[in-house]
Amino acid sequence: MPFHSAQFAAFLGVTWIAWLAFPARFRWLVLLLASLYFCGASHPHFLIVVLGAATLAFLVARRMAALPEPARRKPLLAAAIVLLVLNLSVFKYSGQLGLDLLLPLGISFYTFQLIGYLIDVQRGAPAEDDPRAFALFVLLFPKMVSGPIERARSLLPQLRIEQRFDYADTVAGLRLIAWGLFKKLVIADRLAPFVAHVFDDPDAATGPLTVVASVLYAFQLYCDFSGYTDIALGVGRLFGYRLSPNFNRPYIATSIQDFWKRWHISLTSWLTDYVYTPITRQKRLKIKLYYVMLGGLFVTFVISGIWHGSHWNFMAWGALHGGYIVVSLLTQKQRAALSDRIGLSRRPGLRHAWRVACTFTLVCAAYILFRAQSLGDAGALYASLLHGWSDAFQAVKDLVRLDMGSMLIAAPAVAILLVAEMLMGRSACQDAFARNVAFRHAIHLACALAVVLCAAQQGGQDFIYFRF
Amino acid sequence: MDPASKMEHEVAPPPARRKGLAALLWRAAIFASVLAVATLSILVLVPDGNDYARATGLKEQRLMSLQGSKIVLVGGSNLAFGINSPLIESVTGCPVANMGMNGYFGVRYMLSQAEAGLREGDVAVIALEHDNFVKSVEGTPTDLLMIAKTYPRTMSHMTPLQLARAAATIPFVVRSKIDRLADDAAQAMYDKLFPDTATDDEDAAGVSIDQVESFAGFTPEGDLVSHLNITWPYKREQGLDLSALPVEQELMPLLRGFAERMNLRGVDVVFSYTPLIRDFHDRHATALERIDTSVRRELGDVLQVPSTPKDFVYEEDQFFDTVYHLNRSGRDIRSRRLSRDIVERMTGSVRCRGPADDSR
Repeated sequence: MPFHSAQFAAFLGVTWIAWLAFPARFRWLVLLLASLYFCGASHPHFLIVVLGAATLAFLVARRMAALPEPARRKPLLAAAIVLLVLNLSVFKYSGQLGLDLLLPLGISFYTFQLIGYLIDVQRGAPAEDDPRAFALFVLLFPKMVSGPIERARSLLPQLRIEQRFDYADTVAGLRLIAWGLFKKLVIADRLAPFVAHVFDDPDAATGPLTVVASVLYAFQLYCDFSGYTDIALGVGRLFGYRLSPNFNRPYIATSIQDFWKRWHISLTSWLTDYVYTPITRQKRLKIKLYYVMLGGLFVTFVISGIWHGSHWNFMAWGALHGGYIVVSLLTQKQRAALSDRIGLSRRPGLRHAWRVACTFTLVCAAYILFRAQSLGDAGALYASLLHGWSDAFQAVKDLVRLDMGSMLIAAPAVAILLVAEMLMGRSACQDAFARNVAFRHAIHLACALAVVLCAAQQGGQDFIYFRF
Repeated sequence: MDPASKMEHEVAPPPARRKGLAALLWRAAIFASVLAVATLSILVLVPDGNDYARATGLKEQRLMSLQGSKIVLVGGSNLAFGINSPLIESVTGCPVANMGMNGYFGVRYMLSQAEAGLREGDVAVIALEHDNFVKSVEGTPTDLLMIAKTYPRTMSHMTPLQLARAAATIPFVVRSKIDRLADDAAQAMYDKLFPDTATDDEDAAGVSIDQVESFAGFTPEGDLVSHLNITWPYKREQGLDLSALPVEQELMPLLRGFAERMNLRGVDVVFSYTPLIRDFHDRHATALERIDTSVRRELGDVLQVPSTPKDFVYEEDQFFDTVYHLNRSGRDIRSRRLSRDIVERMTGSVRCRGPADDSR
């Protein structure tokens, strides 16, 4: 049930009305039933998988909490993590095992969420006693499919209290939903055919086409995933829950480290807390902390790649990002010296723009691995960067001519996105926007109209991150 | 603080009244209404790709206004492109209302529209596109929306379900219009920026289907004549592959119901076939034979089937843009054949007073 489908709109409407109609103390039940339906509607056996994982984590956490010393909790934790990872791996890598199982809805996301919860409990955080709150912590449908990967300390306290209707929260939620749909339907889906044209036929690609397609894919992927996240956050707000933000204008990052603080934040922070930090705190490693840190970073990014999928190109994509960071840390002094020598340090504005451009270029270069169907295809696309530059203009013109109308709609929509995101960070602009009621309503109406019209297509594109 | 102001201070309501669910629903309703008006405005104000649909008004007015016995042709675009009504009028002596517009309107709508104007002594000739034998009788909602918008009286020939389905496609149609506007604007910008680049193939050859499918291209009888002096320069559109598709279940009962009602009304019902290019016919001969057998077996007692699909097979040079749209020579041959079929099957109740005045 994709978030941009009519079925989801109907499901959400019915759930919200039922949630409002029930007394506050029973609203958890409405949400739990709706989440169970959402999770099991297409394939009921998905429910068995998620409920099994949730029950295991609930019981193990309570057992661990009953043990006084953290050290004694470790075997239990290890056993639970092995079982959860095994469960994830069987489904995620079933193709390689010759089983070809359907990937249960949101399994990568809730597995990481449960592992995080168990590690927190092992480290001393309280275990959840209320099975109702815990069930919702795992199953809550807005974040079920593609996150955000929630932390127990952030979501569980919200689930324990009785939620009531709040006008401001509801309006804010609806706006977030509309903005997410705008990103998904008006930008991501409009750009998708251009990207597919190049990436699905790598042998025909030329340098300029690969560059343009990678840049377009950067916006497609961002608008697709952050659009989904906005909808998830908005739906959460309708029911009174504040889910964790996942994006913070990632394409204005000034370094790859900065990019990862802004992109898929809930995954990055999860990896930082539960993979990177434990590696760097290993006292048994008899090497300099600096190298442990670099190694930890590299391993963390490789795991991030593996989490995304079973294909080698995802692992290579993670490794490439790990490599970017390791190299950037190793060359930090040299780059600063070069910056001084060419006078870039004296012009902070220019230096900032240069760093943003370099980071964006590196991110786009890595997207070739992320979007390609296989490592072989990615290789062909990288090789294509070396030729076809003499006809660059004609090649790009031909690409645009595939669907000039879509490009004419997507291009200003991307501009709107960039301006909106730039202004969102400035409180003066927000105040001015809030004060100018007519302008605000016109913008809302235009966005809603664009969403309604773009939703009116047969066979729209699925969210990219649904497959993870 | 004086007592009055103190009391006022105590009873004063909280500075900002807490907004509730009613306020939200009220604002949502207003917002949805404005959104709906904006969507409908685009639907109405942005013109369609062509004004072909306007001809439905012309045809309906003729259907309702012809006096005495008449021949009413019921079907899709095969009739619009491929009938010479004055020729049929001259052979039969009956005025013709050619209702053929678009096979995608669906058989239910086509029959319902014709039924409204058929009276005792008339002849109804049904010539459905071959798609209509295998596709839903309900028609395509977007096409029904287009005629409902162009000529609202046609809504009386649609069922509530058809109307609801048509209404549900409004956002889709509006989106298509905006896409078309964007495409046109982008093309214009492109041509301006790169004047040396060849424009798209259709324009380069100087023929566009929108030029042909226009209201101005129709005669008062309802025949499309705008294609008669044009040779189609592109590849012909192929018909649906009929071989693997079963005959639509609802079709025969629908046709039977129509024929029975018309028989009671004193209307002769003749079943005819769409012209087909020889190559297409040969590839689908078995499926077409199966359709003909079904028609004769299930409807033979309530309507007349004077010909077989094979009788309307013509050569390639008699077709226009599709494998069933005839050109000038093709439509004359077909119209002669159809006239003969009609004359042979006319019963004594048909008393025509010659062609209508406006067609002379």
